[in-house]
Amino acid sequence: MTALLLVALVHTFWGAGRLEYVVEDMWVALDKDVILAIPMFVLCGGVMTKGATARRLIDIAAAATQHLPGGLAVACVMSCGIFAAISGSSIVTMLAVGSVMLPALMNNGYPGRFSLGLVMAGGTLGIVIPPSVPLIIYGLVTETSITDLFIAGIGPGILLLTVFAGYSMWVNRHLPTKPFSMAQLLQALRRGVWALMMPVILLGGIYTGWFSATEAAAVGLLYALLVEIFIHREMRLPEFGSVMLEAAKLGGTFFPLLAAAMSLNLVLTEHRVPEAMVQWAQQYIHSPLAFMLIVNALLLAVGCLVTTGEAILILAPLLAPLAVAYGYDPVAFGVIMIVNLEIGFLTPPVGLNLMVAMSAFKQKFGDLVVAAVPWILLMLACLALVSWQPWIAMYLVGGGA
Amino acid sequence: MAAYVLISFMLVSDVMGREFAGPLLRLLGFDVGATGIYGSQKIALYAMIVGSFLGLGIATATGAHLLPRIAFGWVPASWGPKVDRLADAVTGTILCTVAWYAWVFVESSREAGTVMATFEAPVWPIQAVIPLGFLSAALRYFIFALWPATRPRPPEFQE
Repeated sequence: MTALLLVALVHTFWGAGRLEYVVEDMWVALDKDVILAIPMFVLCGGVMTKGATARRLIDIAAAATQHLPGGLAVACVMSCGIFAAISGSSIVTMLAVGSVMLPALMNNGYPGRFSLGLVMAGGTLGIVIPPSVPLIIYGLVTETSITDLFIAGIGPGILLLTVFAGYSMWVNRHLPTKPFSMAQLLQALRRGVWALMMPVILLGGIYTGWFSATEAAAVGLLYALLVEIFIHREMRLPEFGSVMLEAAKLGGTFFPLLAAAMSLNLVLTEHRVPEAMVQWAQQYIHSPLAFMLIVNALLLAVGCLVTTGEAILILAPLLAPLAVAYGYDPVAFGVIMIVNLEIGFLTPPVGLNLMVAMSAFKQKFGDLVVAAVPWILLMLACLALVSWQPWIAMYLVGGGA
Repeated sequence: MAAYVLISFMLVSDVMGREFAGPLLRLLGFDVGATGIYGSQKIALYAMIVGSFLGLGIATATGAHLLPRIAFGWVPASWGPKVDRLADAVTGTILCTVAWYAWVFVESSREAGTVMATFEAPVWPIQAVIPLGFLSAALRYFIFALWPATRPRPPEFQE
């Protein structure tokens, strides 16, 4: 509603004054095949969450890392990373892995505050590691290749995984470890290999150019249904109906908003607002580093107040041309923006992972905020590194930034 | 929901036909021609647009619509019920206005004879879901304003 009013005002005062053009722009904005990737990935993640995928992935990660210091915490990080490569959503990743791992961590003597922070921060990997719905939205509103964005998300995702795992090992270095068991690992792999193949098919298909992002999502959905219904046998076909209903509700809430936001972008582009912003900014900000610092500070502040989707829809079309003017690749900038907004999931007052964890894990909001602090600092360090060295994102895409 | 079943079916069938069935049949020596489904992405896209705008009504009815949180808490809690009813009435009126302009757009598209990019068929029947979706949502808001008990509780969380 707010977006529609804003678009109507812009059309009235700066546009042709004919409000049916707002609807026409909305139609033009939605008439893009790549938008189909969003409901497909939502359905795909929904199917895998309903089934047994998360538990089987956790078993593999636990068997592979139990000999390491803080092995169970490292397993939690790895499980979040692998599940993130299926779900594309922060909250889904946190709930799917956290509901199993949090009690396990507590029962094995891991500090409560650390465990809560770990589960919440691990969940945020869902929007950085491809497939990622926020990366698709960024690609849509800035007309950037979604395939390139997905590939660029891999490097920062691995960086965050490594930093989280390293921190988990260091904090829990005094906890007892278990000996490595190849038999246990093989057994877990046998049970979970089908789930483990999912990110390989999704990302492998996209990376090799065999599928577009939309096609990969469709193949992923079919694979997820086959695995959960016929192999894992922990989901029945009628349950797919409830997954569909959730996707339909998301469509009803999100796509009209996306259309309104993209309509606004068309008006702004028509009136050359991004170019005017570039000229204005270049009068005051002379170095790319200063620009990146200011943008990151702005996004961190915005991430505290609005959700990732809203922030991308409103700011990405304005900031991406600025980033290009300062010499950043739009793909690298998109990934930097998502890594930045990822932190917003852990910052009050509207950090979604904080709020969901408060309800799902029955914890006080203040305790969760404190638990998130070290992880926020780690994520800030990773954000600084990716902003300073964008090749971390761009290496696999095949370009510098 | 039917729209989402159609989207999944069209996309999956197209990719399977093109990437798996076609190459396999050709490997076996059959001359099968194109094995994807012509226009499948466009059909799926139109199904998604229909599903999205009709889903606007479902989202309104279930309280799943997105709400910006910035201004939450600016109004005293005791004013809440009255403000909610007023907001519902205003929202319904705005959505009715949007539905009207959407209908003007559909009418102009029909008169201009605009056709779908892939099928050369008139596109206005698909576009007609836009005013229908907004009108459906508007009606629900008017019902909430008149009978506040029917108003769904807003969701605790949104992603």
